[in-house]
Amino acid sequence: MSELTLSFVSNYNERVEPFMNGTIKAAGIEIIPTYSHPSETFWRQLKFQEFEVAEMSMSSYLIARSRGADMIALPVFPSRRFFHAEQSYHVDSGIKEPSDLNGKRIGVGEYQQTAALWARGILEHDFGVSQYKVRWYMERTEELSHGGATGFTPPPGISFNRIPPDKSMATMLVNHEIDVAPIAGHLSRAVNVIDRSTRIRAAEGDWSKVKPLFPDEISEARRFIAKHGFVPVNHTYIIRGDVYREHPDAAVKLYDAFVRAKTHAAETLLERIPDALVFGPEFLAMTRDVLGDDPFPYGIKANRAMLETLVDFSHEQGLTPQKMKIEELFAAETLRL
Amino acid sequence: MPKLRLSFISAFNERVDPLMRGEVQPEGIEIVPTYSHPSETFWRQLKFQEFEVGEMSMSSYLIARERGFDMIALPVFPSRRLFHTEFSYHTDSGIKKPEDLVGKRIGVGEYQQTAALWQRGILEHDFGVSQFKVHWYMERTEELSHGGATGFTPPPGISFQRIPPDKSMASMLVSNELDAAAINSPWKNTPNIISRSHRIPGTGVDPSKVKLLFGDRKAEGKRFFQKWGFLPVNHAYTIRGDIYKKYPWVAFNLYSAFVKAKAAFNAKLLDSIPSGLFFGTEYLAMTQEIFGADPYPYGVKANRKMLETLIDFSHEQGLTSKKAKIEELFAESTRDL
Repeated sequence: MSELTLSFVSNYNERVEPFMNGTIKAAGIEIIPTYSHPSETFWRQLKFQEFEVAEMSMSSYLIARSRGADMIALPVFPSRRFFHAEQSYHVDSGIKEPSDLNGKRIGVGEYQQTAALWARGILEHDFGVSQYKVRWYMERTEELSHGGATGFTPPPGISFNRIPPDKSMATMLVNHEIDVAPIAGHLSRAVNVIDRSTRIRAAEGDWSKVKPLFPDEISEARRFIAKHGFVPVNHTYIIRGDVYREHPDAAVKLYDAFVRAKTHAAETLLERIPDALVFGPEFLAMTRDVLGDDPFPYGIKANRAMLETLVDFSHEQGLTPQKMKIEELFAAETLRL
Repeated sequence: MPKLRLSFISAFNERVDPLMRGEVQPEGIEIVPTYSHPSETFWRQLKFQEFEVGEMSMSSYLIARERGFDMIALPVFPSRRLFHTEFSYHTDSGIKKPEDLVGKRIGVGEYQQTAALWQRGILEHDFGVSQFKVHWYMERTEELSHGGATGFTPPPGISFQRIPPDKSMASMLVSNELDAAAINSPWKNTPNIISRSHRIPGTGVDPSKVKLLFGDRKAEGKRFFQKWGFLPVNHAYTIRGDIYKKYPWVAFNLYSAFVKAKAAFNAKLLDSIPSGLFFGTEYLAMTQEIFGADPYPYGVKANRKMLETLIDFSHEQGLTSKKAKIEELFAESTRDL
């Protein structure tokens, strides 16, 4: 019996890894995995549609679908963070708390990326920082950005600037040419060709003047969960339109494999905590106390509030001209999951 | 270029793995790695000396050297835990706090193992629980134990029993045939042929009656470290005597490689924390606040207090008849490191 073979691109993600490394198999489907940084994946996928199954930015997906891109998502959301809490600020900016961001210069990797969408939405709705009353500085160039691939223009009324190619969010923040930027993650992560803050790190700058906007991320996570009830999602997985039409049953088969891979990851989570943390079981208990036993629910039912918020934010931020309908975003076979 | 090939046995340890995987290569040496559970490794090494370089129990090493075994240690200590916080107790035992262990029945995997040595020493010196006023129940059989390989007999004055072969520490604790046992070790889910608690977990009884002796392991870890200044070590690495005598340069070369392997892991530590923990950065900061930036120092100098305590405990517990000299335990060229 000949199996369906599908090219598959994704970043390393512990909840997807058992699927990518073959521990978990989709029924009747063989995947050919490519590991790739999301910045590169989305650019390649939006611009060239290279892969048959791909990790995809939720925000870029909404935009691409509103412009007729031919792909369909699966309701799997293995990548979640508190993106708004990843901002750092320069101490000379006068910023003391998140609401002080009004009027400030804020760095952003890519204006339309999902992390930035969540950061703008949460800063606006929870901290009163209007996206129209700050100045945005975007790092990625047009040629290499996801916006370049989906035809991005800055929404009307937004103060939008580009970071010069010889600088990065990191260098501009440490030199106080901008006041705020989400650089914490960039500095610890692997270098990629799209993001300059991973390469131009300004190691010589005075980093003692750069502080996290939310110094207690655990408390902020607790507040966020109590108010919103979910952990923000940035990525999902899509099937290319031509593949989905030819093999509609692949949607449920892939979804099922994603679920089993996540279960496998949850069962091995404790033993994957580095013993250098010494208190692995205690830290895992702390996380579960804040986020519950499954912070990564899959399926549309369990994610409706999150998806509605995402669709609302995308529309009110001028990234999509009308609100996308959740039912149209996901493969029909998965709508009841 | 020709290299000396050396067989090398160790459990997976994140600080050693770059060496075992070949990411870090010792000068002049090619390692042939065998991954093995410590229970099996030490038994094989002490009984058959199969490997030229191997992980070794510190306590069994002190005993074996006193009895003339021909091997020499390197001052590398990548395996450390708060062993005394791994005790659980049965709630019907009347135990409320560690001091209440006096007079109780305590399970121990192997009487002479380093974890048990630390547990007895810390309970005695910090909590007033005399090792002579409790009843010890050992799980491993004589044939399969490290003590069997080094000629163990229970020290005079110790109340020593063996757990019947159809039972285990875990099964006896849940049925309150034992009052306390160190069953909370990270190895509990890793089957091996020497230890039984993973295979005979106890059934048909109420597991909610088993509780951690130290309800707040972080607080106890902090207290311990403030008093003693180190994280207890259970394993080092040894070179077989015939190899060390023929190739004395191997000791320093291997030591340097262990140091590089640890540094390689530390550089990736933050990225190796599962994203499912969410607050990895915060948790790592909490751990470092308690234990400092490097809880796993290598070298004799940085470990003198820990080694002296280990030697003292071994001697006062009757496992060694005289106190070993630190200088005689480690390869000559590594003593001043």
